[in-house]
Amino acid sequence: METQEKLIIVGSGPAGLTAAIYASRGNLNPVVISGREAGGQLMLTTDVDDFPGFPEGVQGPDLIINMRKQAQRFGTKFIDEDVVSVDFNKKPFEIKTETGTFATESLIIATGASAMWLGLPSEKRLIGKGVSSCAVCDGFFFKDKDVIVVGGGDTAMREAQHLSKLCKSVTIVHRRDKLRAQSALEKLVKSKENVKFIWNTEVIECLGYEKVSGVKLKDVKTGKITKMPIDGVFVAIGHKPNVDFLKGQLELDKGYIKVTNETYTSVKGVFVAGDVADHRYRQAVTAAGAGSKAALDVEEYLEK
Amino acid sequence: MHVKIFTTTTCPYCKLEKAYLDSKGIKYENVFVDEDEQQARKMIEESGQMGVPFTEITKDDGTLVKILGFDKSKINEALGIQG
Repeated sequence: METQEKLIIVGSGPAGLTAAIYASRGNLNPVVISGREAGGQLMLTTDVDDFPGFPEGVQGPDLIINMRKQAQRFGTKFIDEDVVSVDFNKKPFEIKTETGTFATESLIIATGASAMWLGLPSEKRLIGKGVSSCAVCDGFFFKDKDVIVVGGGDTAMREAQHLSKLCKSVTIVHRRDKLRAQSALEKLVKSKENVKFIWNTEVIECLGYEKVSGVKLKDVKTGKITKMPIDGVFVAIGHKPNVDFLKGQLELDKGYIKVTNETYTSVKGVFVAGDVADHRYRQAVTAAGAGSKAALDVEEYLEK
Repeated sequence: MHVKIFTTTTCPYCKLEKAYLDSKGIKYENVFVDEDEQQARKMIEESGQMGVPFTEITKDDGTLVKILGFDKSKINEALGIQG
């Protein structure tokens, strides 16, 4: 027979894991459905220098692994699968994963956001063959080579910073005329001798058959198209909230889950935390803070 | 059964995959392609791409299963274990 959970948390980045720590300490026996991209964006981030409590910085995956252990210490259970569908019309709510079905009185959605691709057919064809979205994973294959990073935010700067240590040259291609990254990151990247910038420019095609040999660039101001020979393309153009599995059952706002009163969604008993509802701050520490709020609100909700 | 994983020293999903196999008591051969150029070339040849982790599971009957990325369900299936 299917057991009924008090709380299921979907997602296992800083929001989901902090919610799990609070909820398990509050005797809610939470089940975390951690997802295929378990750990979230921090799993692909090396040096995290802005999470408080780590004067020398911390590696993203280490931070996540420790949060997960901390949640496990208080009895959180983990299911390492993706949620494929939810049904909020049923009470308790029904949550389907790749291999199981769960019933739960309350839910915290903390599915975060995933890296976006440019959406070019040539890009898709060359993923793993010179096109990547993870410098710490694949950067090694571009040792002493020339690469571009597409994007102008924090992720693009982190990718460029990591690649600058390995590659001969790193060129940041950005469609605007200035960056929108934290100034500390911008300063760090601009101090690297082998990093250059191409402004007001978009990548419109990845070139190459067996592997990337270059890119086609378009100047957004003049419309001029040029070819640039290159060995690798790292895409860091931002993230999109992971809401597909909801299939329209929660109200959204600009693609993100609509939040009222800190953690409440349009469905009673369904709460939200972290980047999936936050287009403004998107920090590990704000996600963790939101996770604790959501767990506390669930506790109050279940007591009623 | 022989399990070989091509990884890099910095790749987080490689660490997770190895931790997972350790937790299941599965023995494997680990190759750091960022420290071994010959193996790096071999991996590109055998997988046709440049992403890690890349896992090759050779079953007792000689069949070879290739898995790209830390794909737990495919690994479980190839090893015949429960997740």
